[in-house]
Amino acid sequence: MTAPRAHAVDLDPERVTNDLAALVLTVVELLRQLMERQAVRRFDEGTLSAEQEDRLGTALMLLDERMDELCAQHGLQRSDLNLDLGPLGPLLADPGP
Amino acid sequence: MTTVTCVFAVTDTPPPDEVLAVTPGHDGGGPLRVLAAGPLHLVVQDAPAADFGEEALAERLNRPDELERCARAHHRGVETAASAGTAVPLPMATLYLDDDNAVRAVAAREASLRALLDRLRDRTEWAVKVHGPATARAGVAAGEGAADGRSYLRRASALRRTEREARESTLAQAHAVDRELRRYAVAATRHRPQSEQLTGTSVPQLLNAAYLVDDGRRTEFVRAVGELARDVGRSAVEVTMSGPWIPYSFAQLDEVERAARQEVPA
Repeated sequence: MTAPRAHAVDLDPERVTNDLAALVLTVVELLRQLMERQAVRRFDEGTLSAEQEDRLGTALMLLDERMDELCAQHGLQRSDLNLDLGPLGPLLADPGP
Repeated sequence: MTTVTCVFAVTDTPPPDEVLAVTPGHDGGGPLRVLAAGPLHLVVQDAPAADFGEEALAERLNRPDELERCARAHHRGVETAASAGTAVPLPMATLYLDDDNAVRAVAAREASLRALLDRLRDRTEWAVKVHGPATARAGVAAGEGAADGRSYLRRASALRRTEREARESTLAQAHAVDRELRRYAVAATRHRPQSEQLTGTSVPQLLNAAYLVDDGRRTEFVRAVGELARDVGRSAVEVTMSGPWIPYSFAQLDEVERAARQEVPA
């Protein structure tokens, strides 16, 4: 996602597939981070039961591992997953609560 | 060839002809010239109208290589204008239909341009950037402890707290650098930090500031930057400085009155 924007549209099929994968994974990573942030906030607040904590934590852990696998499959790093939103800054800036 | 008049800068100390003659301006344009507008002088160039029309120009400036060539040509023109004394750089590609229009436009703003020249005289711009430590995101799963859901959440919570504290501490250091440097500056401005894509490094930029410094205080300022760099360097925060620059950041005509009020007391 960080490749410099060329003047012409690049229609190399390999590259298009990879760019699309990176875009989809970026969106998935955004949702994952949002869910994790929400879960951590509720964990910190202590409003979850022990069983809920375990279920949520396990789900997030598995999702995290799955993201690593998907990134590896497409030759991407987690840090590649981002979008520069211009004046708004990066999509995944993780500004904290 | 139809041409338009491209103005680089306005000065009250026009550069000598031999300096103008050896400065190449924009590609395809004529030699650099000086136009008089009362006590002020404009450094201009005839530029081909075909390349500098609204559409053609917008298209060219969208291409990074053309943008760079254009910016370099503009900077050469501005440097030349400033070679004999203070100059007010005009925005890149400031174009007029002909010389008369350019002279009229400058004459109409003579008062603010002279105020700006006085404000920039014997002062230069210094750019200071502060970069934070690389935020290598440690995976939550990589931590110690049992691999159950609750301990995952606990680690995620701890990681977020550490990251937040680290971010706040480095930002505070960057702001402290800015606060300290403003003491040596006549004026200061903060630009939006450049993206990692633009800087080509993987460390986040925390501060992208420009300072207008009296030439008489230059040594003090440079020494202060050096000391600050040493102080914050211990926590892997990097301070870099470049300059002296032509004060582009402080030459905004429409901001001249507002900026005058914002000057920090020296």
